[in-house]
Amino acid sequence: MIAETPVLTVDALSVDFATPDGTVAAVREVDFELMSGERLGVLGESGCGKSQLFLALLGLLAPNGRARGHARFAGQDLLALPAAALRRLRGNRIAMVFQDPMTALNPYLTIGTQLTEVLTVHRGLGSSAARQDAAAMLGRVGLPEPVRTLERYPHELSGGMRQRVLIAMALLCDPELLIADEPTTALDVTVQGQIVALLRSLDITQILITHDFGVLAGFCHRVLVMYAGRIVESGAVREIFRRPRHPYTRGLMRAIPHLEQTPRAPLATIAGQPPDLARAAPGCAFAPRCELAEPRCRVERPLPRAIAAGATVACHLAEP
Amino acid sequence: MTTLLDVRDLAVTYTLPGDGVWAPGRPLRALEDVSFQLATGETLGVVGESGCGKSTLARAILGLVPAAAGQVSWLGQDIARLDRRALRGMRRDLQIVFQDPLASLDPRMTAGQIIAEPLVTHEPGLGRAAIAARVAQSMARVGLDPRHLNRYPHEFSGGQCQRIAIARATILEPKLVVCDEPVSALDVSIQAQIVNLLVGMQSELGLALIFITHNLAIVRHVSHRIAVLYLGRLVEIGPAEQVFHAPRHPYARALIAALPVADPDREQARAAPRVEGEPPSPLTPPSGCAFRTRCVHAIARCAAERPGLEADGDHAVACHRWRELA
Repeated sequence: MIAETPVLTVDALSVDFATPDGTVAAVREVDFELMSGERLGVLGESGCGKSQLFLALLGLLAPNGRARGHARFAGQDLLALPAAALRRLRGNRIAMVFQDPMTALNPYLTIGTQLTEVLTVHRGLGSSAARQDAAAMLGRVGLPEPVRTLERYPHELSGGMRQRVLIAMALLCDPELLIADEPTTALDVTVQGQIVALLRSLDITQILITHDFGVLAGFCHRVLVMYAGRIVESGAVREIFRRPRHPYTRGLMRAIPHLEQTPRAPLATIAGQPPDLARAAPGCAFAPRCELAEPRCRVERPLPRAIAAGATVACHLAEP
Repeated sequence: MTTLLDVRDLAVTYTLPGDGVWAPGRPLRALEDVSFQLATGETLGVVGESGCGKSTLARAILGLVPAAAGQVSWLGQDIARLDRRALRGMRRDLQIVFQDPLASLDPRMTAGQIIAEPLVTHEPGLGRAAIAARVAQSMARVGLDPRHLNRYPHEFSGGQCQRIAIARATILEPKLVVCDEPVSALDVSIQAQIVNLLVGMQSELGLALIFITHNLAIVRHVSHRIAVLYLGRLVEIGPAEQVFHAPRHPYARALIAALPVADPDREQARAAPRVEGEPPSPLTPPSGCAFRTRCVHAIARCAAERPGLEADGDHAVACHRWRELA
């Protein structure tokens, strides 16, 4: 159930990285609201800022990164919180699942040690109570033989099982918000479906970062599309798929081979490459690759505007 | 159409270190009993999940790993028995494009040097001007600006690096290019550019392609025929449309059914996952049919007896029960 109460309100969030080549504007003036119980998908290609946006919320940016703006969660501004307060929130009320389950787990510690640590640190449980809770959670995420799995090391598990362990770890403290960054990308097709089904079955507010349209279609209520650090389009998942309004979203959807398509006929493409984020250019970042671009697109930046109920688009030419 | 490549009962075995210093090595059967043929100008898509032997197959075709059993024949000759000259000729006609374009290009060579390398190796008599002209022609053909020939790989994007790899693989106008996950590391908008380039070059140069990937939508788009591998065994092979729209092997069915489609109405109505569990370890493959541990249709016979590849016209499947399940 989606409630009318926002869990997270992000307001004018920007992220910069100081690099030897100058300042890289990774995320620019992002605004969005996430309602309780909602599953939000964030779609974009590599370098569009989708991961950095959420690392900024969690205070996990690389040392040369700096975030500005506001992100209200549970009555606090995440971007203004001191490190210690943010650390208490992270893993406790906001949890994260990463792409590669092998690198996210410590190879030297058993699954049980890694899971019970979360409970003893965040919830102050004793070790036997923590083990019981950990085993119960492993069962909930569909791992066979949860008690025996506690004794195992990460390398003894398959990729899909490791991803289930990470999801279990994320859920242990009963968080209000789960952020999953490409949780299925490293997995095989037949296992991907199992993990998406598991995430979808959780009764919790979730953000899924992905570049996979199929995964997005099966998982989300609402979608944000990012390009060059900005949200270019947002809306209900069915609306976005039925009628993408931004030329970038349309281009992406046409570029994936559809099953109804004539084999071997040329696929639609988006010409060129994404822009270099170290060189700020005026106008719309997509204009150099856009078939519809007009002179004003190159000088005047389109701001996100409401175009239908719950839908925004940042394009001068988009129609309601 | 002539048969370029004839793979017959191919098996490849790797030896892994045993448990402990003095323990004997453990054999890993990466491929077993794989047979298929490839004609000139044809695209064979090879699909399967990680560890199914897709990349081992690419290596075995190129003669980079020895066959433990069976043989790979190139234009009618067993590649294990080719003399040096014949092997050189085969290498000229048989090229490869790898998944990670940055890792497969030498960072200390310029794009021009990388693309010229096969030419320098196989046509040693060529003068510098002739080489430069061929490199420029090859770069233009793959959509690279020939003026960028003195740039290094790190100065190009991922998609452009893959174009360099394709220019290198096609400068000798080979007969076959093996593409091992050529677009998996690329973004969606760039994937389509590279897929179009490969399909276009194939018709321009009359190339045969072996297109190895786990991306089923792309494989269906580019292939004339599709081969499905599971745990080192060929479980199904046939014309692309037939394999895709009427798969016969329970694994091929599950794989195609698991393909997420960009349609929220269909995806959100999807019930539980269609296959349980994950592929078993190739170190301890199940007896009989390799897929039986995950197959909802498995019967006692599937554990007792390994199903052979049974051909019905040009569509073949290795399953005891495919006729009754059809």
